[in-house]
Amino acid sequence: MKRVILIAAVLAMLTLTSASRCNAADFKAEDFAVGAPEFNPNESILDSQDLIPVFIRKAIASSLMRGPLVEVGASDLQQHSQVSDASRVSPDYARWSFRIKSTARFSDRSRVRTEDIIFSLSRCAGRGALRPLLSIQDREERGGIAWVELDFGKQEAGAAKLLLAELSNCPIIQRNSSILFGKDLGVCSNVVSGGPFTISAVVPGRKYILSRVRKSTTDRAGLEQIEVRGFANPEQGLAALRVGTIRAFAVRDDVIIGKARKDETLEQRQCDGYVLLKRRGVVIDCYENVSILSVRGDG
Amino acid sequence: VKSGKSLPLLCLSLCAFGAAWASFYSLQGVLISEQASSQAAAAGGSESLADEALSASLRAAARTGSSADAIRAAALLAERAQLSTNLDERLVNFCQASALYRNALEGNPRDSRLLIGLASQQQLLAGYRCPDTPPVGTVSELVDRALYWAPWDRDVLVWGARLKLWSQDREGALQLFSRSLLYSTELTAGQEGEILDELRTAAEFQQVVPSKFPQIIRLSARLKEQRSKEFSLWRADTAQMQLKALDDARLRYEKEELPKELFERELHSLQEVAASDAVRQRIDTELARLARLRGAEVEAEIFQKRAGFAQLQLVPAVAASDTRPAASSLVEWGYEHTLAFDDFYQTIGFYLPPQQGVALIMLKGTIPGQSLNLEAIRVLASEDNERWIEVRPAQIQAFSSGNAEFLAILLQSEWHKYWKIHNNSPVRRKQFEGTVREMLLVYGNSSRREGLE
Repeated sequence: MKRVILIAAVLAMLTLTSASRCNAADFKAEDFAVGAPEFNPNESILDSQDLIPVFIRKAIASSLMRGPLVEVGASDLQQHSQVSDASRVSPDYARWSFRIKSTARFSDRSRVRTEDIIFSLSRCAGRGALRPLLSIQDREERGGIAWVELDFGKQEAGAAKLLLAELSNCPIIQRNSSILFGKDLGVCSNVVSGGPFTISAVVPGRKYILSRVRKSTTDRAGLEQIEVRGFANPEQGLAALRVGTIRAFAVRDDVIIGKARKDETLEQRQCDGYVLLKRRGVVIDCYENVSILSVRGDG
Repeated sequence: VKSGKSLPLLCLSLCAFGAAWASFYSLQGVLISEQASSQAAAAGGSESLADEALSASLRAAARTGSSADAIRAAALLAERAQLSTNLDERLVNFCQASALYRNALEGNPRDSRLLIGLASQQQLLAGYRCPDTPPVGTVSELVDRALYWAPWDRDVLVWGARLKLWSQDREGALQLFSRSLLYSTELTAGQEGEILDELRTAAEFQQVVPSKFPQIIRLSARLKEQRSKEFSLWRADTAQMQLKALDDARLRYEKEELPKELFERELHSLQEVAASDAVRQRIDTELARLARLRGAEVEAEIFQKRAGFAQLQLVPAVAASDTRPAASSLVEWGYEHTLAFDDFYQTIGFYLPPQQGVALIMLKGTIPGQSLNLEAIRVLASEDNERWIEVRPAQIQAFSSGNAEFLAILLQSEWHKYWKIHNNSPVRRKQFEGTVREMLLVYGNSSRREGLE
């Protein structure tokens, strides 16, 4: 699980902090593109630990927690997401409660319900995450305010921190459509979720265009797109970076990293296991726990 | 107030009933207090104008002794009481409103709205006895008298039910709600919503909502919108009621008590909120019969065939500007915005879970009379959402029915994981519109269990 978190820290956590040094005409939010090694298209984008699927699920699905860096010990976790707007944790980290945002919606506008949360958390638990989970219960307060309560049994602070990270990596997906997708859930683009982006075009394994979910038909946010490209050959990724069709390229290949080092137009930085190559002038920070929500390319 | 013991109870009761008062007066169609307030606010002297309006109403009530004037004045007094933070002042105003009702009742003892108004005041005062006012009966007696003189008045019935609920007489309240729905087909949206909010079980839904048109249609629609979880949980009971209502309407139609056009319109409305596939199939059978009588053979044939198929469970998706439909993937699962099928190379598609064979795909456009270019329609299927094959339909038909336009594609009951219905044309007509969920209807043979468990 730690690996998931670390990988999630790479591209999924990119932040374009400033565009002051890049040519305005050269950079548009609408065509922000990143590259990474190609991944097996038969793997589920909800479960694969490759870079591209991690990036995609951070974009299209929200989780109960926004990020793993939450101060453990706080009574209110104060790291709420698009799904939950309040939380409580018992002093021994045994019982965790999350209030479900009444305004949280999936991409088909259906409300995010406790049954969706329970389904999603159970799904993650079935895949080895949230291991000490003993039970999940839902509870409704007057006025239809819904809570989900997780019982982990008594936990140490270190384990609790890991649980927070795992919660932030567990995508909340729509239960009914997920059941219909069955074993095909997460294959190609098969998922109904409630994150800030949706997959609007796909070439399985190689190219995904993520569009910001529109709030209405006239909402121009839908034009904002992030293109995620998978390269089978890292040479091609480097070439794409050099000609400017992608803004950044995450790579582990030493030969490519060496070539990029000799190219004065490129910069590189360590990004937790990967080297993030980028064009000089484009400022990209790699934070461990910054949500993709901040990948906007406002510059 | 001399009795300190009754004060907290009274205070609570005044607060609890405060909001209800406003609805009572708007229920009566008396919006004078709001008007007076807004006029006063507009004039910049809210208090003086409101006082003037109240004085004028009180004078009118005293002069005419009519029910309407008394109710109007009582509304203003109640509003003033609610605005006041002083308990004594509030009591004075409420007592004055009670006195208005009493006086008006002397001249109009059978006016059920006055009786209900007085009952509400008494409930509001929670046992507090206004000075110099001899008792005229308990809340329950006043409600019974009001109902005796106006047994079919929807507002009196709803208010009577409300008062019974506050008196912990839940069974009596449900009976009155039931009567209000039975006798009136024109309850306000607020009244229907309030009734639905009170229902706790499917059995109570069955007890209160009559199994007849149009009530079952309206209440099913409201249940679906307002309490979608219950709509799902109470599906079996609701379906039973809908079928019973359908039988009743058909009988009335056959006896020529229900005009054909009205029957057909009600069937179309019920179609939107059908609680089960069995209901939908029965409606299709009836619609086919009625269409045949109209000489609409295509419509009759499609509805007749559709009646024999189950509606399939699927996940819809779109692919906009799909210029290479045989090589592109379906994306945007659960796309919720309105789109036009007759747009630039538009594709609507779906994922079909196993154990289901597609025999009929229908697209429903919300604007009638906007037929599609049938020659541009292509149907494609895939097993991996990447490589597509063309499926040859047995028949493609277009027709209008109700307030919608339909495209019907008949197939030889095939199963594929992914399906596309593609408009192979660059023309942007944008007349065949709707959301994907409303537009896409797929039928066939299914051995999947109904429901999503």
